[in-house]
Amino acid sequence: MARLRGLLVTTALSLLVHEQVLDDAFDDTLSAWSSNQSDTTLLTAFLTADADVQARLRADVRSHVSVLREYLGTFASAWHPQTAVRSRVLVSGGALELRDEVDLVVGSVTDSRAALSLLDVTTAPLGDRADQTIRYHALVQTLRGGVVPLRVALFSTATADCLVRDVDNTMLQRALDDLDTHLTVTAVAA
Amino acid sequence: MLTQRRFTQADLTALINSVAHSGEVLDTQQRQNFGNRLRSVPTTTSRRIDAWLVEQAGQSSQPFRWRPSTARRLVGTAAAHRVQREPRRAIDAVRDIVDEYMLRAVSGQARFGSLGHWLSGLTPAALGLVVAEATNWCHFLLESQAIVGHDAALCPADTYYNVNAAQTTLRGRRDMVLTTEARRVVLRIRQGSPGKSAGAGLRTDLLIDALGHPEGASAARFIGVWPDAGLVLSVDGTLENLRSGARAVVRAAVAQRRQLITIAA
Repeated sequence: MARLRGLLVTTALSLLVHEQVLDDAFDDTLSAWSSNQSDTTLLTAFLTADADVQARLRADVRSHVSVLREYLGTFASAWHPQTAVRSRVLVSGGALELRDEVDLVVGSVTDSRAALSLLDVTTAPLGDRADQTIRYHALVQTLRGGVVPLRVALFSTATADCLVRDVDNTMLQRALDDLDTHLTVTAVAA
Repeated sequence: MLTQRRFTQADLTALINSVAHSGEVLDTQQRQNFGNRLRSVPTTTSRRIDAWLVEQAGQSSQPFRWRPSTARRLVGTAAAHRVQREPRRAIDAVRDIVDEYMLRAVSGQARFGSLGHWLSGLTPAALGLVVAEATNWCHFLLESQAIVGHDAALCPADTYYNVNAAQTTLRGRRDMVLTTEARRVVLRIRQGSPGKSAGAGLRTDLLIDALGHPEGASAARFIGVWPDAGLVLSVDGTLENLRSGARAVVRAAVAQRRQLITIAA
């Protein structure tokens, strides 16, 4: 159910950014999300779950979406808002694939000034690894488009906390160090 | 030969400017030979072949079904055209197009299974997701066009080519075209990252684009752009690449026929 909660909140973000009115944060989001699925496993799991689990998820999603509504604001069309932006960047001659999904990207890579801002939404509270997540988003976006984003933010719909970081060379270098550490740990574990 | 570059303004400009030749021209005899090859692979129903089917080695996975993610390119591209003709918000253009499709369905002009018919049966929230996905695509396309350069014109439609007496329609995807002097460079934007058969897919689109051209002229270069991966792959409009594309289309038709025979058995 936690996975479904995350997917529904992401769908709600997409609808809100594109000015869709949500009469019921849960029902509308579930209806929209299920219209886009070819695999009905998660939906079936929800529909066959007991009433208590269903009620808990409903309350949970409504709460997260209400936080989004309150803090999100509106986005000018000139900012080119794009939701659920995926990246799959191959590095080291294709030996390593860096995957990422950013919930909201605003701005353009073709502007003369750095103007790209990324927002990731999480349904969990911001933990110790929040900065690391932000650095990873910045690194993958830089590798993907060859343009360093202006700013990356991580917003928690659980606590309404938002961590905003400007991107600079130091941050990108630290992201590379994080990646190096992760790969070393993975290699040792293997 | 398949050329790979990063999807940056500088790399793409260099790739476009380095086109040395103007492409080949397919004559009537070559078209007939290709048609004969496809007619030799019989089919009882009409079939559609595109680069996606070629990349999947002729094995179609699931039957097509409208979803917000499958409707986004059609609606989003039409919206991008409108935004360019008459500057306005992308989301407003998308909403107008969705309304027009629904109006056609309500007035009985849309056939069963069409986009309009599907849209007219959606809940407001699902319709909202269609608008969201299409607006995303519209921004994605306009952003990609800005990277390619504003000389690139958005293509109003994909290329369709019917092979005579073979019950076969070829569909070539294309999103932008750049015409400079006698050269034509065609670009196709794809989401995700290129797979191992991306080259075969590009050659297929190159061939279909040439077959759909009134004079059979191939693009000087056909470029596939994968912004998600930050990559660009391209093939030149040489006779070798056109032949390779033709062979890939015939192979896909054969594989599709085998699959249908297996299902029937």
